[in-house]
Amino acid sequence: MDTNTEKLFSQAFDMASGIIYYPIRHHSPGCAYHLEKIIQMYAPDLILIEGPSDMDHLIPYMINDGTVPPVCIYCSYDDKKGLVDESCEKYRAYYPFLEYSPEFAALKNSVMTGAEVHFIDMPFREILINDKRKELQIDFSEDAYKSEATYTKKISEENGCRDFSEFWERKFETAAPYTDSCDFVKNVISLGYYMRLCGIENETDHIKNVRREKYMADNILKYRKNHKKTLVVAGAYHIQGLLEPQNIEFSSVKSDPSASSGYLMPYSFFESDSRSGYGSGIMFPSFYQKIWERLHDQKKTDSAFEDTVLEYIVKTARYTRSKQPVSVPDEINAFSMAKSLAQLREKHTAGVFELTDSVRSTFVKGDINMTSSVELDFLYRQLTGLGIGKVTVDKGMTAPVVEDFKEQCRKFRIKTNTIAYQDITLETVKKTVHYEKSCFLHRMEFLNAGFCSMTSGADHANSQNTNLIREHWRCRYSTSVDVSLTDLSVFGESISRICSTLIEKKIRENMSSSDLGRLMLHIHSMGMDEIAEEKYDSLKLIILSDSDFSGVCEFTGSVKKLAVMHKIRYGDYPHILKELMSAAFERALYLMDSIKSPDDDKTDKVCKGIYHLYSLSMEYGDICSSEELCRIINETASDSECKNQVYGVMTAILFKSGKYSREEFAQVVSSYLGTADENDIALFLCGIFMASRDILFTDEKLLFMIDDIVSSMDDQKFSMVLPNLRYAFTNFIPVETERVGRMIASRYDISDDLLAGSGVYSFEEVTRARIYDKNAAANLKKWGLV
Amino acid sequence: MNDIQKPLAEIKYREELDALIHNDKGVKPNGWLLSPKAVRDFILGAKQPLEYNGKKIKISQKFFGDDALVERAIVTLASNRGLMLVGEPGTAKTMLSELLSAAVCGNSANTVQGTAGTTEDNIKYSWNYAMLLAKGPVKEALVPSPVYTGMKEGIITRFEEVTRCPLEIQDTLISVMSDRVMNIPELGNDGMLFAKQGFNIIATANTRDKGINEMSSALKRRFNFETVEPVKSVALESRIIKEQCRTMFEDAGLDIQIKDDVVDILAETFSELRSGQSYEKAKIQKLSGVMSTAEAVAVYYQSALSACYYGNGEITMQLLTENLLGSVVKENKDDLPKLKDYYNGAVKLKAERTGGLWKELYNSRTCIK
Repeated sequence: MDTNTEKLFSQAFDMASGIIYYPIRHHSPGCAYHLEKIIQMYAPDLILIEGPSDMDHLIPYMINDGTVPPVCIYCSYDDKKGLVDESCEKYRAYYPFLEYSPEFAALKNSVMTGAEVHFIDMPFREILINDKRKELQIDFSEDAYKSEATYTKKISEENGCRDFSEFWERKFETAAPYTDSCDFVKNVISLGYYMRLCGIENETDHIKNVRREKYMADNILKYRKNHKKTLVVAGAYHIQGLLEPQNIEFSSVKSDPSASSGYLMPYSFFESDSRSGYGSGIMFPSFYQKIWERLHDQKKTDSAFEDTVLEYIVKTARYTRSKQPVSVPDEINAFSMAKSLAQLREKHTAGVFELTDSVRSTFVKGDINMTSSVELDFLYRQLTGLGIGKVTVDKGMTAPVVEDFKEQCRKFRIKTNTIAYQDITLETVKKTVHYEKSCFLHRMEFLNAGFCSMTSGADHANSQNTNLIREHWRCRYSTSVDVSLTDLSVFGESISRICSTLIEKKIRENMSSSDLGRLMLHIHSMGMDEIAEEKYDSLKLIILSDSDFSGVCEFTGSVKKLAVMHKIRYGDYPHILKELMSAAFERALYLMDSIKSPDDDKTDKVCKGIYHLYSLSMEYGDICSSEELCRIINETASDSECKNQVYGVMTAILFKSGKYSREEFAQVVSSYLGTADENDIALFLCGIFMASRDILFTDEKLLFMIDDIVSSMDDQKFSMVLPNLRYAFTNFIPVETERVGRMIASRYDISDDLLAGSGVYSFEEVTRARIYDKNAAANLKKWGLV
Repeated sequence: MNDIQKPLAEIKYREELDALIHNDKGVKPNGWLLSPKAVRDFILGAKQPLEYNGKKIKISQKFFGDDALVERAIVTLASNRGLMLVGEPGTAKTMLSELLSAAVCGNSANTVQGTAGTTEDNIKYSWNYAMLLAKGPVKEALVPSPVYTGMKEGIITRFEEVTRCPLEIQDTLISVMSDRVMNIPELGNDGMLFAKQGFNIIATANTRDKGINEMSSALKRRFNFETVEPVKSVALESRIIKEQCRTMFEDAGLDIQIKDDVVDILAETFSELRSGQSYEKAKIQKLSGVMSTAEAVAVYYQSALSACYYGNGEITMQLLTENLLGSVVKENKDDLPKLKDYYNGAVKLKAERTGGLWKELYNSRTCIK
């Protein structure tokens, strides 16, 4: 310690004065451990903590016995008025607390000592407006440890540490149980002083910090007026700034408090880990949770680190043993190595870095990049922790939708106390409970809250895997689910209400009939069919205002699917589906005139749509009139502008519905085949086969007619027609194609074996073939082609 | 200038070792020359120079990139387990093993070189047959091999490329390592050699040889494994190339100035070809050959020598590419088109952006055929 830091220490930490400043590193159990001691020694009647001052009202819930960290204060600010910048975005921030976060320890201890407690830092919305920054996520401690990256990097390298976390553990965390509280504070103040000294070089960041410090200093002055002993708990970086606040101007723009909100939420160990991307988090939070628990056990304080290291070694060995051989001597070796490494690194005791080093060295047998490292993966998972916090708040202190979500999870036995993945299999047709659970999961998926996704199962909306009966889901709870739901809480107080609002919103937007069909299927899977009834008029309006024939036909397809699903589940389908189907059918008939000559890329869809209308009229004759369909088809088909493929489908439908007799149909087809261009013929056949491929099998005359046409083509023409002809035959299933082949083969007396390419050849035939081959080769050579 | 091409570590760094021994106040494991902290200082360098014989001796850093690995290796050697260094060729496994041996026992020469033809005799002991016939199986007739010597004298035995030896030969180490005793039945009652304090084994195996001869799990249990990774930081690799080449030039008595900008380009090239990604985040084809730092040192050294003996002393990018080519194609010819692609992609981009030496390097691509 030099004179500067000595001076700062004596200014900040004079236990005889009316105010002391306790420097911390956020989420450091060592700092929290000594803070508790200092609170006991100093007995303050006021504790002021670096935390958002507009969240004071959450303190009672934080110190409630029912609240178990990790928890976080979630702040959001909806910049509707564009005070931050013109993008008018929504901003959010998390202020996480672990049980051993010094801020949380201070809150808890204030209950025991009866001290008044307040947060004193700038509210999140004020920080945004003053900094005019655009980051969507910030964390309240980013300032001190990010802007000083160069300093922390240098100091870590100087001490032979891999990063600042290792340096901090080596010099502060493992030393904490063996160091006097005042000495510990001295060391932390000293570190903060030098960080600040280097931080000044980064002017932009420093000004942000200075502004916050000024705000905090003003609050300290305000609160301590009526108190004798005040304890200020703030980041080590800020101590000097709090003691000597600079006069700095705040933004003249006043933030809008009504646009900001804050909730207390459970947080997870995983999210608290700096390795998961939370810059100011601590590495391996679950490890330090165990340290914290042992530090509070009087008998285990001195051996807190060693006992924890040993516990993890044993746990890892037990897990690894089921995968690969790990012996007791390996465990002994690992523990001994951890202790020896600590000695070599001049640490008081082995910490988490010695633990990972020793497991890596003694348990992993081979090149770490090539062998499986199950033991290390397991160890890292355990050190981070899978647990999640718990909050106990009054009604109104969390978004009602979050409560509703938790309630539903309880009802369906989905865990929200772990961040581990949960796989769920549902038999939605057999079991009512499973169906309800499926509806809940579908709703959560619709809300896109990052809670669940269906890994396999019928997706009727996209017509995928519709043959599957079971649904497989993968769920994972994390704080981000609560956050997403809180963000959505503006749309309603429950999950179903939010879904309804969002669905209504979608319906109000310019939606096409095909999208509406998909949405209705989605609504059904969410178990919210009543919305369709409520919004019948709007739905009908969408259909009636849609001028896309194929889209309307697709909608009828979706409604048909829905009707089938309703029949399976309830034995009947609701009246509204009938009405929508009828409305869509009529609309499609009305639009029929416009699709005589569709674009090439749409022809297929249009043809499918026409055929679909025909099958609908067959199945639901009471609401979809076959007579009317045939009348309009007849009118449209007789128009000379009608495209070949469309004409083909229409002709086939007219035949199938009895408007053409077999002879009439044969005549229409043969006259078309006899007069049209080869390519048109192929497209016409494509249309015919799409609607009525069985014609070929009931009357072989048509097939022979096609065969005659194909035989009469020269090679060049055939190669031009081939793609369309081939496409026409894709309407047949393989067995049918084979049957067509046999029919043609029998016309030419070709045996089945020869047709299949496995005929038996005589010796003479083979000899003749060889002579042909030889002559051909000689000619090719003569012509210089080979 | 030294007559010996490659002096042993304990000779090369004699002064540093003496200074460390003289100033070492730490507790030494039995049989060790230095305390673990002093061993670490010897390999990773000490912040302050040490007083010795009226001089201030600077303890230089000799191994770069992973301090924690060195610490783990030291702790392993002080335990009852052997140390197995695995990794890609050219990652300085052998150098680390030499340095550790030199620091722990002052002798890095007690070495077995593992090959397909290594026998048990090469590891434990053999006999002077003339004496054996004359006097029978007596101690004088025994010819000690490195493991025997290590056990008898309490020093480190280095076993290079252990996985090149057949499995049954490797397994002769099991009893030596677990019981720390070697039984020589021919000597009767005097045939038990108990390992003296300080004995341990440092073995190396390169991962390219994986599959030639696997290790039995019984032997694996007797070792702690450490994977020596290639250097990831370009700046560090550049520093290693410079320092190694400087020493090599000094040893060869050559007055060659190292060109920092050329070394930086070489280090970046090696790093990109090794990782399969360029500095600009462009994906490039990863070479299947070994692109180790040792190889980069060799490329620079060769290029500098060519410039010195056959050119005007100036190292050119043409020379660098020619030597790089030799380094790339010696293992796999399929790497040649990949190298060409690299020049036509990543190098071209750098040439366009920065010009200078990168442009020169790009222009030298014509020699890649």
